[in-house]
Amino acid sequence: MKGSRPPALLSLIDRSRNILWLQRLVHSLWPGCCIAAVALLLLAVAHVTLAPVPVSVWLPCTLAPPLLAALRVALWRRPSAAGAAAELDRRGAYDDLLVTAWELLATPPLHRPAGADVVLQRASDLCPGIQLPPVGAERSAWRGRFGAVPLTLLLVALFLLQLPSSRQPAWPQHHSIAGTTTGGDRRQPAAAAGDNSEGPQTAAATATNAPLSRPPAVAAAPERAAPAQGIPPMAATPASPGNVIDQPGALPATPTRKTAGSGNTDQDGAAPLTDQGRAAGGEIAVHYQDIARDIPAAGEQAIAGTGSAGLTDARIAQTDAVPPNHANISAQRLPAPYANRFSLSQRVQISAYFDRLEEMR
Amino acid sequence: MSIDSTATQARFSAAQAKLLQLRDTLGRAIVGQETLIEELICALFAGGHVLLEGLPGLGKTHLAKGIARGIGLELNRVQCTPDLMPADITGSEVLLEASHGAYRFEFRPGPLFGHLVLVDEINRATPKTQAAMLEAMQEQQITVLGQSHALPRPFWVIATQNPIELEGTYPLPEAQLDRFLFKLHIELPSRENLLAMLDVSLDSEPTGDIEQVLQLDEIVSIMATAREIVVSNALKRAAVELVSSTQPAGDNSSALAREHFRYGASPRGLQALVRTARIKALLAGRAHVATADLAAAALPALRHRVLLNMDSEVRGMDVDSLLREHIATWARQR
Repeated sequence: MKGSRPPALLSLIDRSRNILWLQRLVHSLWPGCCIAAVALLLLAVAHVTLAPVPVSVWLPCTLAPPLLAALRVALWRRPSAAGAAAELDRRGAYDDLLVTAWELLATPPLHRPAGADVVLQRASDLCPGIQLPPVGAERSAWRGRFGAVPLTLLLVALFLLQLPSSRQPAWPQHHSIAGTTTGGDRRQPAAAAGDNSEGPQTAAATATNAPLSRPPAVAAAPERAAPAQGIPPMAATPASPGNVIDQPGALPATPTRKTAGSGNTDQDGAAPLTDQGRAAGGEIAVHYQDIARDIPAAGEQAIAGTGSAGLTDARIAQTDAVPPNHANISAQRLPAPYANRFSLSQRVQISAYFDRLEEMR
Repeated sequence: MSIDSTATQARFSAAQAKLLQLRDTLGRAIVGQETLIEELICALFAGGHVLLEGLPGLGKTHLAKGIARGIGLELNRVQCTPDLMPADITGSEVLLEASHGAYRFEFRPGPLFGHLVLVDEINRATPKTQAAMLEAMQEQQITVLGQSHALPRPFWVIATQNPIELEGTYPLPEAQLDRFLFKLHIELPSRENLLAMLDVSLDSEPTGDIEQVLQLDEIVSIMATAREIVVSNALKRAAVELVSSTQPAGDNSSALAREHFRYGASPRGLQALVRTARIKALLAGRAHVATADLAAAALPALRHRVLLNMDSEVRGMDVDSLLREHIATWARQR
């Protein structure tokens, strides 16, 4: 037997084994991407309808399934040398020549059957002509046809989740943008038009999702701020302008306003205000730094509660025709991305700011 | 290439050439039965016996005669009837008058003492006579009055039976069926083959024109060469998988076997499968057995070793179609 015969075959099978391993790794990413896409889509739906989903949640959901699938393949599904030889046989229609030759090489020469030399010789002759398959070359027709589905789902989900680049302000600050909606203010018409019976439900939903969606600094704020100011949690106490503006540290707010067509009756006396909100058609965006500038006390507290990073993109979108007031802010009628950025005490201060702004007008 | 591998390669090539020549020669005389001829060659050169089953007039006997001429061996024929006795086929001690008026017993061998024995309509023989063939087929020897007589090597039995005339017949017991390496079905020829057959056999005996392709020593040499064909452990495991999965009560049984089979193939069936797969590989010019060889040999090697359960028999299920499905499933999983 030639001395160079086994190395050629061994080298071929080793290379084939590595390629097969890589192929399995690549192919395992596809189901992982499918799982990630579905998970991310569910998170996106939750993000739009329930509460904002922070990056710390959706990024692991996106990356974990493909990585886990690849890790599983990498650790437990590495093909054996015999398996690689069998795979080469199957792809090249070599009628089990390579797997037989591989076994013969592993057998001591004295124990090989009489025809072993012929098999090894034929396998050796075959080696130079064997084309190793490229990584990722083989895929099923089904996967080829629907291969773009998980990618599309991922893109849709990421769009809905508002990637960090798309979370920059989509409208000019201090300007009114009529009819513009973003992922953050989709709930505004319903919130503005809804009666007060929606208040506790929305508050409860926000409170449920708050630990998941709030950044750590913000999430800790209510626990710090509310006991210090003696303000009960929103879920426990219905929103009431009379209650919230009487808290220490809050600026005095304008009393309840009378508006035309206010047919609703609220337990907390905010019915006229919600009617005004229902009639509103536009939006205004107020940068939170304005609050910090105009009302030093409220601004400082907001800075302490939200953090400097949160200040830059913290916005409040409210109705244009009727400026927002402490009633609908304290009832957590803020759009979903912003509603839980502020602690209860901060919302009280913000509502006071708007009241004062209205008085100045 | 080393001297050893060159010589081995030459033996493989010579054996393949001879087998292909035999196949083509028989194919010219027996029209439209190419697959059957190849399977018959595989079984005989694997050293096994063959049971030919087919309707009357399909050429079972002609096929046996043809291969006898092709391999240059005399064909001993036994026409089975219910009154055929074991001694009629094995031979017996006869009293002969010796010189000086003395008498002595002398063994007169029966028709089983030949390289190639055609047992025509074997299911018409009584179980006693059928059983007499068991020892001959398995042990390749015959014992008469306590004395064993070796049969010539190679020893092949080609038995035929008719599947439709069951009156006055004695179906072969499973133990005897298991001793046949292959059970081959002779199918009805197509219209084109019937026309071609008329051209060949209308005015003459077709097997009479078959030329002798092999000598006895060549037959023995080819059978020895076939044993040099390499069967890898992976293929052995695959063969075991295929056979053991036909056992409905086994750990490895397939769903199809559990549903339809009462008994699966025996270990002798596994041997038959691998041995005939070697001849298939030799015919294909390979020095090793491939999955395709096992798949091709599986149906004739296993069809008479698998028994349907009562439910499947009542429903009219066919062993062949079930086994084809079983083999196809096995091949897909490879």
